[in-house]
Amino acid sequence: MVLVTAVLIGLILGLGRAWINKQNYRVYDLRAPGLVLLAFIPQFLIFFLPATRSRIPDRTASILFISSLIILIAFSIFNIRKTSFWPVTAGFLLNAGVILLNGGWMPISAAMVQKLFPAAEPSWKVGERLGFSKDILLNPEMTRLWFLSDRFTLPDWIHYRVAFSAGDLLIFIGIVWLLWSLGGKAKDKIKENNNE
Amino acid sequence: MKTLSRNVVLFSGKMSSKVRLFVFIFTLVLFVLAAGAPMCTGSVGG
Repeated sequence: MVLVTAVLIGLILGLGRAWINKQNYRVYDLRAPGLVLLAFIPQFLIFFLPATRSRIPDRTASILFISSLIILIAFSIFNIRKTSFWPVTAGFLLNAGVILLNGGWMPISAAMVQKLFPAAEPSWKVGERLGFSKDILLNPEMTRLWFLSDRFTLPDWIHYRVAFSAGDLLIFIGIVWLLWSLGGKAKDKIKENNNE
Repeated sequence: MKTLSRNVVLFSGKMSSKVRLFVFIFTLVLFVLAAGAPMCTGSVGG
């Protein structure tokens, strides 16, 4: 959920920038927005909806998850002419790479899970999917591209336990950048969309 | 009549920009939710 805060932070920064510049906060039309809905539906079924997520086998869920990622990458590429979509696309490619190389799920180490849930008894087995999440428990030495897995956490003073990847970080930066850029002066917005 | 039609145009213009902003933000929220592939029982995942 940490990426949702990117939208909030980006909006606050963008609206603040527009206010300082005495400009309207103007949005532009994203290309192929329907792809986002198309990508979200399978994820809603495999991660969120209790009635379906418990019935869908892990293998099918993994295929749906990867399909969803491919659709999101396609959406990012459709919008790549906006400079802020470069880190977003790079983040998706990194996440998709590590997921594809590790059996269709995002690897996370036992140490990281223990750090996130210190009170929980370590009942998970290596190679097992963590509940209804996108993560699979793998030792770092058996993880391909371990450095791209969910291995980062927020600083302790934030008091929000979450693990995220380098790809997530790039997506976060891109979203904040996108929303911030919309509050800029007209010439900056033209520069942001100079490839349109 | 002229004023009324001008007001209608202005109002629809304002509404249109708000609708565009809403659609834009809604798309981005869905996008980041899918990008983070959230976990329902905890906080693992971006």
